[in-house]
Amino acid sequence: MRRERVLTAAATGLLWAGVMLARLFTGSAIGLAEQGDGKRLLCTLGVANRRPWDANMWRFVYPTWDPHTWYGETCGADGSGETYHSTQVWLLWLAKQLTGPLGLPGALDLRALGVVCAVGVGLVCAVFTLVLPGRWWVRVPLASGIGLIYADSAFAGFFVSPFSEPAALLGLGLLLAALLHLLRRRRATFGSLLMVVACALFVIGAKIQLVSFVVPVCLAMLLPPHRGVTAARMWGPVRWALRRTPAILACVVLVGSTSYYLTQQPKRQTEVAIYDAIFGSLLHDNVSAAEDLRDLGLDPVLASAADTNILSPNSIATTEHYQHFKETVTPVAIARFYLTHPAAALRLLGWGLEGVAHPGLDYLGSYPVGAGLSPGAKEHRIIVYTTLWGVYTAAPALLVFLWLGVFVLGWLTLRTGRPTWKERAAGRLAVLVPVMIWTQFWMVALGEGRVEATRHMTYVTFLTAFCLPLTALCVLLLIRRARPRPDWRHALTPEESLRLTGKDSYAEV
Amino acid sequence: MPFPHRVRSAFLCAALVAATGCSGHDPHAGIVSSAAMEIGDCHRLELPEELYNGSDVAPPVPCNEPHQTETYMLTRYSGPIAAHRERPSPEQLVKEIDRLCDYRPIRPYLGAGPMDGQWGVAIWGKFPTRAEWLRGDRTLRCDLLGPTLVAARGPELTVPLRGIMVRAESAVVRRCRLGPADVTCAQPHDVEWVEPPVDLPPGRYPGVRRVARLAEEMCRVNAANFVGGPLRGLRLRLEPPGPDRWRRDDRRVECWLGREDGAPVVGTLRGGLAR
Repeated sequence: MRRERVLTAAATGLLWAGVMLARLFTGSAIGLAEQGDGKRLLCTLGVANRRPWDANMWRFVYPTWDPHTWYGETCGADGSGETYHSTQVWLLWLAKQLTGPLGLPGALDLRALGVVCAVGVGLVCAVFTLVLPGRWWVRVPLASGIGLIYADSAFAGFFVSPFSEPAALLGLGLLLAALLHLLRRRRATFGSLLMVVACALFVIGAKIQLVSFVVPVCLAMLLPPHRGVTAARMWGPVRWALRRTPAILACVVLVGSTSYYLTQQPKRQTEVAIYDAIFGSLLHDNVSAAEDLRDLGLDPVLASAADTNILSPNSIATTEHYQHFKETVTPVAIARFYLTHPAAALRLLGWGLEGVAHPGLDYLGSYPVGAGLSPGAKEHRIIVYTTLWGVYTAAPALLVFLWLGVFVLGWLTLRTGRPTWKERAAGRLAVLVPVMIWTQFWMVALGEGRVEATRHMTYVTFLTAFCLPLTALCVLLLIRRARPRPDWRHALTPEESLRLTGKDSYAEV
Repeated sequence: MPFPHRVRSAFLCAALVAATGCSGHDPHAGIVSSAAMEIGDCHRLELPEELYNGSDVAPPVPCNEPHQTETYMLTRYSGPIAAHRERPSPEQLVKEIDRLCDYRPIRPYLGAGPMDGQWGVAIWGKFPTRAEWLRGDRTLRCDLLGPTLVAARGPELTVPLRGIMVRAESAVVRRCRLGPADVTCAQPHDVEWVEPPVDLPPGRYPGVRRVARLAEEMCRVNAANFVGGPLRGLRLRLEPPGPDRWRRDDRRVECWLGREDGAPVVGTLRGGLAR
């Protein structure tokens, strides 16, 4: 790797770490308030939130966490106490180590997490500056475009919050860079495959809904054949498989680890999500609720519980119907229902698009109590992408066209002219990202429905924002290739070459 | 200098193993099983997350230290819900608490006599953990949740509730008023509820003045019994029923007792209590 490239990457990384620090901490620190579910992750580090009993926690950020001993099921998923696993714990552990040295109060202060994440954003921008194709004046603005996504008000608040999103968002950035690194060579290497698997596991390990990335990531890993593995005389499919043995092994590791991780997730979360998917989404404002319930194998009388959640006073969880509901309605049954009911699937698509089109969680405040702002005040320090999103807020259906457009651009980048492997990587990523978006979109739509769609669609929103610098890159590559570039070496005669260079002989040239 | 390939791969492998997720929290450290809890135990559940969690296996604390609940009864889940091998949903278990945690032992537990009305305590159930349920434990712990004296601290007690009504500390679970707001008598207040309330004799509504006179007579007797002597320096405030309430067969008179000068006080006027 050239020294100039590394220096440019380091400078870009430092710049964006600085931008993040400034946007998070200049004036009053900002973050994101929580709804009481922050404990499930931080309790594993032996801390509890320092806030008054009657605190308005949806409206204010309470960043300080004090040492606390949690017994039994008090630490874990709400309602069951099952241990909540997330790779976000690693970032929180780092923040805990930094809290004291940074002079912050308590055993863990989420502002220290903000510092860790600012460095993380810098790292992501640096890595992108390294792996993106083109000259520095192409790579730095594009990497900055990615840094700007993290700095936008739609995402930055997560970095001073007790949620799992920081690890997932940073991991997702690194995963995209690792995919670009893997695809920018003609042949895959062990190192590039391992980086992809590590990043993918980090992302999926941060939040269970990101399990949908297994499919596109495996597809990406299986694209390039492996370096040094030859099977020239084999039958086509066997040769294809043999040349990709390490990638197939990497896929097995990814699928196996993800499956294990799935089995470790709190069952209570699935139970709550299934309840919301039916009563909060399917039955919401549904004129054919009774019919849909019958199609799901449920008693139509349950339609009266539309728009309840599992904790509502009139929740069916306290009735004799619930056991049958639990046994009948599984994630597979929900998926099958939507596959056979296109109208219901269209409603789901609409809610999902609405969720993506409205970035930022308006119902959670951005400021700590001491900031002197009204409860629930939101910060708008950097809103480049949020402003651009005004188009989608007005017409959410345009998102589908953007995703489709990026896919087509990626395809054109691959198919137009004779792209270099680095250019191909950009095209392949542009094809892959819409696939990641669609799989994640439907994973969330089917799993969570319309309940808290904006929050659950965070990664779709992030990837959609990522589509913009990616589009710029693909367009740039296509324009460069479309422009006629005369090859002067062939156009000039040897004599003319000597004359133009001012040399006397070819030896000097 | 770049890392050799092997070092890089080893680092990444370690990351893969760790990515499956693990934490340093040991949920079994220092716990006391649900079955080992006893009547009279006090429980510190200082955070909403602890209070609202369905099970509690934290070791009990001395009742003169800050705590939130105190166990007044232990029972067991029975019937179809107890037959589940795996612990049912918390919503189903909580619903059973209303049925199984009997309110009748509460007054004897508090040491309440006919002139002691408890206020501000609520029934709070705790069921076994998932692991305990799987092992066959169906214990249902019925606790009393203390009142909230300071909003920022939430419900909190620093005295045992068992037999509290015969002690001056009972102010913490007696009903008082500061202006129109109900508060416990351990908080500043201007009047205190006199137990028992008065029920006027049935019949036709006798008119506002007669109701007021009757109420005054009967409340004065009750109030004198309540303080255990003459009402020197004290003033009665009555809330007799109007014609509307009377028509609904509600003839109850609420008797409140406060200082003659109306100054807010802290503590109870109930007489004959141990200090």
